[in-house]
Amino acid sequence: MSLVVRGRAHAGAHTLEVELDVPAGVTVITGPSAAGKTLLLRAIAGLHPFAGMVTFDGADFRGLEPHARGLGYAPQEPAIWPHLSVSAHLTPFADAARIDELVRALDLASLLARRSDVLSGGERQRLSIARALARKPRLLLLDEPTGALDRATRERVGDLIKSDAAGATVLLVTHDLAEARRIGDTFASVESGRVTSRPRPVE
Amino acid sequence: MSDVLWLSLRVTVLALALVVPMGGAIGWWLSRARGPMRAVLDACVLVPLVLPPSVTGYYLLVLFGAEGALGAPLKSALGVRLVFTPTGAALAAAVVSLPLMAKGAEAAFLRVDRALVEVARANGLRGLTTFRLVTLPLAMPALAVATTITAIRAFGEFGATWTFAGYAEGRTSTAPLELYVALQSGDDARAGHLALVMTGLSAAVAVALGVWGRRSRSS
Repeated sequence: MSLVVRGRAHAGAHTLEVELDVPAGVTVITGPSAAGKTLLLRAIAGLHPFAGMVTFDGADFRGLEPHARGLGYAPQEPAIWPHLSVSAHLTPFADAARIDELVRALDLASLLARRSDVLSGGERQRLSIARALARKPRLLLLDEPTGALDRATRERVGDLIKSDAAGATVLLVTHDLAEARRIGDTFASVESGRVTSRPRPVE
Repeated sequence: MSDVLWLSLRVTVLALALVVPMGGAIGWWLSRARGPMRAVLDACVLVPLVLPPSVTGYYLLVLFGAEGALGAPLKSALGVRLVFTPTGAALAAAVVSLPLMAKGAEAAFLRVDRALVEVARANGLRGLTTFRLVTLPLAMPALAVATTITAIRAFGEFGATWTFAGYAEGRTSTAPLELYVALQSGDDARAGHLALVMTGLSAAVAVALGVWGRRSRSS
């Protein structure tokens, strides 16, 4: 299940040129701040205009609405719905057994009934990851999903992503090289507004 | 007095039943649309706000009067007559208050954080589900304020109602029309009572809105 992205996206004066073949497994995307990593994920998700082609497992994403792309997406800011409980964040995406599995793995079980506007930063990030994983998507886009977590939790969540998304194609944006080495199968970087070539295997 | 207020309330509720879904839908579309069609609809929506209400009433009469372009077929096909009826008064109140609902709804939907909608869409929720689960609940407080302001405007409507629906005691004699008639007939005491009641109601709603707004901001 490989993801192929070729083309360019514009955000103000910034242009991101992309020529990327992403194999199944976890591909870590790194690069300096404001290099265009978030823009790349948003373009693949269909949330930002992209001039070019995006195909996943042979399926052309052009003209497909974001909801029809079969993605899981955790944005850099967790984008938690403040009026809903933790539980209500997951019920539209998964059955009770799957929700139970995720909330146990992400230490959210005791928070299920809590309103999400009172969650801590770390709890919000874990909920965002649970929401992205809930449908067991074949393509997972994670934009610095563990930045607010402590080291131990980050490792545990990283392992969960790796095991839960086994067989899927995962694009993980991170500045944490230890995390990149720990769970990444391949590696690509965004520099000077360009993402090119096949991702290199993690060294 | 209570008959007049009851009729005014009925006319207001009927107007809201028309204007809230329509104004809400227009506001939602305005909040998302770009380009020349948006500018055209935006201008059309604002017309009843900038036109003198009596002119709006005149156009309603041309359209929905007994001989009007829509009024004549309505009468012949369905036997529906709007002039001198509560429904006609409600239609006049709805048209005049539509800009407040539409622009209020537009502002309400624009206040919803785009990222919260995008994350729902990107994780696989369809448009209608996203609207029901995310957009509408988050816009609801501002939509409630828009609805309240629209209701106040509909309740106090005079010019278009007088011109289009006319004055028919017990059918279109809403509080503002009744006050005018009382003044014209020299019944100053009745006019004073009506003015006092309407002022009290308006002040109560204004205070309630202010309190609710402060509570919403602090929660």
